[in-house]
Amino acid sequence: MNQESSLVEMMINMGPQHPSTHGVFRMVLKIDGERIVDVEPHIGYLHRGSEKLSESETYSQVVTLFDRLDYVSNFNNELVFCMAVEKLMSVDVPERAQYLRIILCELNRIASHLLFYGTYGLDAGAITPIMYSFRERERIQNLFESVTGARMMHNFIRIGGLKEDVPTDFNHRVGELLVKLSIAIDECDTLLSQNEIFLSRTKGVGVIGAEEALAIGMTGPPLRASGVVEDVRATDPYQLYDRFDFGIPVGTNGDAWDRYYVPMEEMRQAIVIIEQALEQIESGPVIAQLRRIIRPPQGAVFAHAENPRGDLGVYLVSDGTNKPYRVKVRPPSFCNLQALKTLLRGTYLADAVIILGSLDIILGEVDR
Amino acid sequence: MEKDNSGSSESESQTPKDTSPSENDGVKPQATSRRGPPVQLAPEVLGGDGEALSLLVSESLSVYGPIMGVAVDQVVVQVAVEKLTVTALKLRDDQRLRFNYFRCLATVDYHQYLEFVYLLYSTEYRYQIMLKTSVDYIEGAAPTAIVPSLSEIWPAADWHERESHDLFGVLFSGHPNMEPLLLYEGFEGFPGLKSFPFNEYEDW
Repeated sequence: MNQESSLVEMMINMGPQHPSTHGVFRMVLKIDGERIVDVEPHIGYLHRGSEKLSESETYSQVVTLFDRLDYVSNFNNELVFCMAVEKLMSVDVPERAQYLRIILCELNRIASHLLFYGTYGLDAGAITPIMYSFRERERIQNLFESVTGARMMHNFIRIGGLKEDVPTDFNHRVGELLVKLSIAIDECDTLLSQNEIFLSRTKGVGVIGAEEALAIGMTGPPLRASGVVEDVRATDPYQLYDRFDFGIPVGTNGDAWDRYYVPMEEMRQAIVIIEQALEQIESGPVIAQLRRIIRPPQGAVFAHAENPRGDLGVYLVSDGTNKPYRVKVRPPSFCNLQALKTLLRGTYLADAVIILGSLDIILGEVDR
Repeated sequence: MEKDNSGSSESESQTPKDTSPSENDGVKPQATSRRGPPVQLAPEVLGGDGEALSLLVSESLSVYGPIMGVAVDQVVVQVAVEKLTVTALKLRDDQRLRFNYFRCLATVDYHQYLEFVYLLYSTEYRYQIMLKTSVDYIEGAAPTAIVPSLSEIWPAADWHERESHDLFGVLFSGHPNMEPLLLYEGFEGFPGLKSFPFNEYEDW
């Protein structure tokens, strides 16, 4: 037996097929015993070439590509692209359309955060919360189905407004839904947030400070969990967000528990926004009068919005024809995933899944 | 080029496509304006804050010769690629600007040159800016262009530059890890370029 122990580092592959990697994502972990020494993330398994495809599709067709980027928050993605084209064309979107867009996007935010809550509980080993949160998601998706015809991939937010007006009982149904969602969010909170095992698995795990999070480019709830107050709805209000009075939940420690609890509070704030929107909405047209073939002027534009995952940005270059010249998507999950190396260095192997789950990534938008 | 569809085409002398000088030789008919409205340029709605920022940036970067511009509602600064690193440092460190947040790097292919658009943000003053630089490239060259890497100034630029290298073939000098990010190993060609045979590509 050797007198000096040699360092034996093992490479462990958390392959593309893995129940806890939130999609097709591969991590090659270099571990020393139980500690992670280094991690090499490999992405690109879901790369569909959306940016290149949009150069050969008309503007209305590109909206469907954007639907499928972050496939959990469809309305928010469509909204960003439509906002970019509307900015370029100086389109005046009717107020009713903007209110409805906000209501649908905030409902989608609640649905997306419910999915994050359920799957994060599953990552930590809790198999009950996902049943509760997905039951609530079903309620929201039923409403979406009655409005747009589809549970996901709605293709409803169009350039200039919405595809068509919502059904006549929409306000009443949303009001009822909000009551049920409030009760459900409190229920989900009591189920998991103060659970002893969950607390010991997530408190103090994967800590990142505010300065480092800003330098590495984090965005959305993980950035707010580190204490930075950055929310596009507040710093650069779009659509009609400056008419609403809502809070921005911010964490203190920047650990995994904060990154889990900030979306929880955001769901409650989303309900506050929807209630105010329902009071302020009035009848009117839901789409601006545009030509059939959308041909924006030549130029470049940048538009961004607050997705459930962070700040989704679109840099759109138009050359005056009916197809975009270049569409560049700035996905929030892509930027958050860069922080994985810093977050995982020196932690335990069992925490890798917890930290990855707390970043709330959707591979559809990481790879595009 | 008018198409005359009158019935009596035999009586008219149909001129074949000739290269001899004709009356409207100086004006080339444009395909896009044949039927639709003429191509307009995007509106510039900068606003008071944007103009103040534009002045501030041009004054701060005056040594490096920036060209200021507007992209609908955002300030655009264009510099030569040799001055890119010093400009980026100045934008990050100047106390009146403090662009500490790197949002995105967009690479656009304009056939003769590649344009790199860095979207920056200041969390302190809430300024947004587009930093542009362009590099000429020859079709078929690999690497397509060589640009200094900004990953030391903003660590967030890391994966954006890797993606640009992957899809456009740009080499970022000084980048710690220039490995393919999105495309699978053994992929040949740079799909982001306009010259990539996108519709004729067959892998099966």
